[in-house]
Amino acid sequence: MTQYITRRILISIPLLFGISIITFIIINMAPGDPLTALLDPEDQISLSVRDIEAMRRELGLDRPGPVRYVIWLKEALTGNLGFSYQTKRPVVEMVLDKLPVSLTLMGVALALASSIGVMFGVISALKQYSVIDYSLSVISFFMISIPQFFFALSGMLVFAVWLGWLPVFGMWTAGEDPELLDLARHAILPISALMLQDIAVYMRYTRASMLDTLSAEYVLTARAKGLSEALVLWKHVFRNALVPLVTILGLSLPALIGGALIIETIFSWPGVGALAYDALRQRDYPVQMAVLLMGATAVLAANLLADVAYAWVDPRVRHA
Amino acid sequence: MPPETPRNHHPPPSEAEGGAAAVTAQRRLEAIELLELPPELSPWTRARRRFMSHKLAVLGLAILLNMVLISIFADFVAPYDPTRNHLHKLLAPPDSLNWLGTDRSGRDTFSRVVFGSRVSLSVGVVAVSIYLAIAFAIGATAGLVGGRVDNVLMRFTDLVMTFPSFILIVIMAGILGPSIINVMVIIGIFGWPGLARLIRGQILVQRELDYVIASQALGGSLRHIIRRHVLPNVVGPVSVAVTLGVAGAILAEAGLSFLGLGISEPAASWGTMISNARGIAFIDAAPALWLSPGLSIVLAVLAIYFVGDGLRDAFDVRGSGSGN
Repeated sequence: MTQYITRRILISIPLLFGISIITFIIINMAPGDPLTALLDPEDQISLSVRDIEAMRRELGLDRPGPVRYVIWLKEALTGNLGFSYQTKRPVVEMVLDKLPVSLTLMGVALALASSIGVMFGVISALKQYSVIDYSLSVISFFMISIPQFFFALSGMLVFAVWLGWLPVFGMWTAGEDPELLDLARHAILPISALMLQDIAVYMRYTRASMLDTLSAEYVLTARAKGLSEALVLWKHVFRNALVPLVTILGLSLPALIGGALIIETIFSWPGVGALAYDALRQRDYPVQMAVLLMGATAVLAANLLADVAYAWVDPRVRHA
Repeated sequence: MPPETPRNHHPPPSEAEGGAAAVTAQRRLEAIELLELPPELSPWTRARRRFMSHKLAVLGLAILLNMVLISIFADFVAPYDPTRNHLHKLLAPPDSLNWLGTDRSGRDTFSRVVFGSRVSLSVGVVAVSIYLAIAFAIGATAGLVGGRVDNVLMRFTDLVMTFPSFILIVIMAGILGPSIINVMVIIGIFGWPGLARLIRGQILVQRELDYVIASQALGGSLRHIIRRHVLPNVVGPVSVAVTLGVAGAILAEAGLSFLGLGISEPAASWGTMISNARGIAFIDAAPALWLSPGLSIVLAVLAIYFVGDGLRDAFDVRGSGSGN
């Protein structure tokens, strides 16, 4: 197991470098100078144009791309991804400030989406070709066809504006003490919109995985031994069918990050997604790059975790 | 089916020479029998029949064909110029002249929805064509050449897949500026990894199949094998993935335009229309303004997914050949 984990980590290191190279190439396409953005704005103010020119040369800004990449990478490794054009604060700090909100939103959405999706996927598989199975399948088609922002606006119109059951946007009611119940009421619409597509994805994967397992020979054996149907389904089918789903946990992160950008913006949740949207509007490239770099690193880490988890539950993987 | 099908019948090597000859004769007879069977349906006919028996797929295809016609003949379908401002009629509710009302600038919503189909469908088709070309070049090279080349190309594919694609698309769109060509190219440039993996995987599977090995043994050239045996069998899964990809590209364009980074005014894009109608005053003040483009997106994407599901059945694609 340790050997497997070590091998997976070693494979991730070149990918991490790749992520930084691609990010650097994109920064260089943006207007402005990524290396100048690395300088503390307060230092820049006190310097004359000639001083800055001298510093640019000292920093190696007139050097070719690969050299500049190495300089940039050294700074990135020490945690300096530059300063925001707008707020003049270090971008890493800005992203880390907003991270808890986004992690909560995405974490709850992922947990709910996977539980609901697995539940309906199991029902669908056990009742294969029934009316329920067919209806769930059509519903899941709708779920993946509705743009998240359109679902969010429709939910806002019906439940917040027309019915008045839920707050329209925001994370807390302004002017009141933060309360968990208040947060939950504010979270219902954004989380529903965020998890919509994932529910459908988990449902379809669970259904397929359950059907695969149901036709496995060890299930036949279990039945032949005379085990009760409930025991066969629970111990032999369900538990084994869940194993491949581990990998989707890692795969659903990129879409979730993209979704958070739109959902946090619509519902004015102060997370990394809303931060990224503001950075897009204000052409604050250092912030955008930090979000991209950290997002890709998070996806890489999630895939690594998913692989390790997969190997942990399924010994065949780690010996392959 | 008899317990021993001719294909699985391997005479034990210890058998006498005469016995082996008899078996060969027997096989020849079986082969002749096989040839005299009523002509089997061609794979294409079979696929078409399976597709047509998938009700949702046929419904999806009908909706999609209608949308394609509407987008081609938008100039004749739309009652007004989608960019003309009727300044005496701003934010009007639906009536007999403006079936879905007008927007903030007095433009006819129905006409804009009609022209929006042109933007959505063309972005979907062009973006996916771009990434199909990239995916094919990378996937086929990796699958056919193998070895180091395969390794390098697949690690690169993994790398691109690591980026949250929507964030990457949004940032690139912000840098390059909003235009329909940019949207097509950006979605195209970042959409290929899933499809490249699929194509490579299919080629690797095909290479190991009995009939390909048989063709090799008979001296078929690589070119012949690829064109005659490998490509036709890759078409099924790829067409499913491409169909789903078009739906994904339409959703990505809608998201981009909704954020104000896709198609810019005054051109009509469904995402842009919803974006303009946003803001709480508009949400319930003029629901037709954003519900109509929104429902159009859902309808278009749903129809494409239905068609994709029908193709999956038609080509008997197992598992999820999703391009994303």
